Amino acid sequence: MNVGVKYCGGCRSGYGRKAEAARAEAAARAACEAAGRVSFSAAEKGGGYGALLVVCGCKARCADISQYGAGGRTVYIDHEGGHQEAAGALALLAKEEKKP
Amino acid sequence: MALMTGEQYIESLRKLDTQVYLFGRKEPNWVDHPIIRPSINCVAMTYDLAQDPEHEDLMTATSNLTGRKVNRFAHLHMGPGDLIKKVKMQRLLGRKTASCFQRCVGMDAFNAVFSTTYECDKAHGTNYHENFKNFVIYVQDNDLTVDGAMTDPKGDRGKSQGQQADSDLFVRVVERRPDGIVVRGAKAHQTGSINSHEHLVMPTQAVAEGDADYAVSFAVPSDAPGLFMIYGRQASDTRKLEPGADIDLGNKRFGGQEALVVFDNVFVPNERIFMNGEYDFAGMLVERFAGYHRQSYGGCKVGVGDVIIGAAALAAEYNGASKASHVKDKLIEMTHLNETLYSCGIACSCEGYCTEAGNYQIDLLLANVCKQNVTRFPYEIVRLAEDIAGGLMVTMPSETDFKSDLKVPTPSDLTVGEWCGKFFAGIEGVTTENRMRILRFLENICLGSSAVGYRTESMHGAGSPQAQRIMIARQGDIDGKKQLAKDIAGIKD
Repeated sequence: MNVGVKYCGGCRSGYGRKAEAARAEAAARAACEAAGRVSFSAAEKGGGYGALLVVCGCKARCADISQYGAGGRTVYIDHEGGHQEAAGALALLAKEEKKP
Repeated sequence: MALMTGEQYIESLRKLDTQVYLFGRKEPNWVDHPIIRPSINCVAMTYDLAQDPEHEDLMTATSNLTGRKVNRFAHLHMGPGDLIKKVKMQRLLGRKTASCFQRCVGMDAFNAVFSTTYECDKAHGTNYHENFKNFVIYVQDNDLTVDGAMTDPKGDRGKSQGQQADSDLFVRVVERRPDGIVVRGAKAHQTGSINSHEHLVMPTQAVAEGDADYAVSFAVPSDAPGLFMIYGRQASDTRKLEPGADIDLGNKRFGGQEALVVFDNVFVPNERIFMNGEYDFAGMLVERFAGYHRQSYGGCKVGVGDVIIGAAALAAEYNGASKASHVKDKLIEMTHLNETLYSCGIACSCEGYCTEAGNYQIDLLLANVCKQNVTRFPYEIVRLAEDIAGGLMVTMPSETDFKSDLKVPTPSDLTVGEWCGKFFAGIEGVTTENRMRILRFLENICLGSSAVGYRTESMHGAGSPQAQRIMIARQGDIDGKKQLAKDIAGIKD
């Protein structure tokens, strides 16, 4: 599954979003071994991703994802430590995608 | 053209023939001048962050005119969401630079001129809106920085434009030709003017019928013939000229910039004219620009405030006072004040409305309340920061003394630097240099060169306090509120 990584603007982020995203990627890769490969890339508009990982600095989750097309398969991180939950959600999506 | 990087922006400035005067002489290499360069670095940050995936959601937008990706500083706000993102972007940049990053005036001018030219054309049958749209597309496609130039020197404040002893004290049209106009006058306190590729000039106040030549708006390149700038000096600015200066600067990399911009018979071609005598629209343009700019301060100063609060907390920590209840309470108060400013910036954005031209204007009452608070709260924030920092912030020896290896001929046989290190140490585990760095940062923002941007600019930028009070009086609906009281009190007259 190809995951697009999209950040909010980070106006007053209370944690290191990049590091948290990297942790989510690593955890998702480990969790997805059984479910097939998962790859991550910086999200681009109209990218047609299997899922979108949206990394937000706060609970407002104001990142504009309207043009990033992941068919509603969107996983958010909005706080430090949120990578575990995000990785689990991505693994589930990868598993669903693998189903015939 | 793709969005520029910060480095490309700096290189683009070198290609301009901008005429800059500083300390009584013409400065040919103003881009690398140690007094000017920090302000250029600040604007460069508006370019670099737009390239960063971690920040592009705020820093870029899709142009409503071309559909292309543009820097948000060149964008027309097409809804409350854009207005909110503008404020968030400004807070982000304040946090990254702890300075005025100067590019907001252009953005605020674009939005004000865009809507005003539309309505002016409708009333007068002029073609300014099309002229202006073409200018905005040029700015967006070339990712330019533009100085939104409004404030005239104004001379005798008790007299109107045409009553001044010197007619040049307000920018005016001195000649009308078939191919354009010639303008003369000056704009004072121009933030980021030297760093800008273009100047977008607007009237400074409402204009009466008899003064129609002062109702003029136009854009010219910063190196247009007849245009020159005289750099505004800042407190402690010559510290930047000291060899090897670093710690004593407080903020070595970033800073703000203002200048006097003089138009000595500058020619403006017809396609760059956005107002030419339509005095009945001068007031609208001023009010709209001021409204946007008063919103801006609810973002930029908040970002700088974030850094000041952090610095005050660090100073307390290095002093060993971070657990004192009064210090904690002061940090809470600083945060409360700072977030109140942000709340106002966000609120006036949420209540934004669509203009006839299609772009969005902020809520004028809330924007003026925002700026009125900005004329006060930063002063209280720096007062508390000084309180927490302690007097050492202004009594410390220089960086040169701290680094000096000159032996002092006393029994201990220590150097000047060693004596400084010994007696200015704070808590264990923190170097004296780090303590000095944070105190110098606070000195710079509280009363050094950065105080221009954080304090006096908060007072007078986007209009002095009384200007907001006039707008609050106009927008405050006192009659409506009197009726509310009458209805509830049962007064029927």
